[in-house]
Amino acid sequence: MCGICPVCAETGENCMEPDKKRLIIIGIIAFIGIIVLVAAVVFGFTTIVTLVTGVDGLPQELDVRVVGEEDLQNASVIHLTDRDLQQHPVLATAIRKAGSDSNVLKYATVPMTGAECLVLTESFGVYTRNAPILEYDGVYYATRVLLH
Amino acid sequence: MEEGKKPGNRLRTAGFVVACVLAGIVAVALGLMLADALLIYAMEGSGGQPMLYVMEGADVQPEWGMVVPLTEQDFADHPALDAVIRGEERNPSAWEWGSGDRRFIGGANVSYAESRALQDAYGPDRETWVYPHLEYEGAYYLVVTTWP
Repeated sequence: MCGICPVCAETGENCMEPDKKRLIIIGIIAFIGIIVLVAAVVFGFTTIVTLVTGVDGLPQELDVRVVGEEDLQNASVIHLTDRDLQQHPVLATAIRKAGSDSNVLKYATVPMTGAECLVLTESFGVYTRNAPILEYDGVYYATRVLLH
Repeated sequence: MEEGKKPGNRLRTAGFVVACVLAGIVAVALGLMLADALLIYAMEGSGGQPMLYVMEGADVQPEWGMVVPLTEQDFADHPALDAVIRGEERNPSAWEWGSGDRRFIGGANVSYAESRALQDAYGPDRETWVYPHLEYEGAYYLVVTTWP
């Protein structure tokens, strides 16, 4: 008996060597097949969920537009440092894009996650009723959050 | 003779079935690990920049959530956490906004794998979604990671 397969165990007959090898090969292929199948299903499902809902909640966008000093009025102004932009890549991208916009009304919208929105709101008040004006390198920016 | 063989054969068959089940469980676990590795690999190539942010709460004992004391081992395992809480990534200039009882004290660039590790170690409970409070030298912190 081969000592592995139930057929041999039931009949008590000697298993032929090729059958034993075939059983081992089938077992290995099945083992690898299950690994690949599970990985493909989980990867595919996660990718679809991510595309539909976003990784971190529903997609949101940070809208940044350049404003003049006359628009400041009594608004609070937060002066951004290089380190602020380094620590907030979404804000850095939005400001860079808005600054390079060639239109008269310079603005940019950049997608962000819910966690990034929370951090930007707590740090710079981007998602508050009277959002402060952000100043960087002598240019003033008004911000708001767009929900989808 | 025939009667005497049956218990041994049954045992062998049972052993074969148990071995197949165990191999199946191992294959599923390996499949999940492979899917996770594929997701991290795909995200690393997406061009996004995951971040670690640390929020400091008021200097009083939290009324809700679990309190986890941070040790030197935590800082050694997660250098980004060390850099934000007591290193060069602590950024007081971003403290001027935000509600009175909490503020983000800084952020650091991390890899997707690090972001996942930090989320697993210090992120919210999977069932209650309550964040644990990390205590260090009398102050309480919450860890927020982004996965853009």
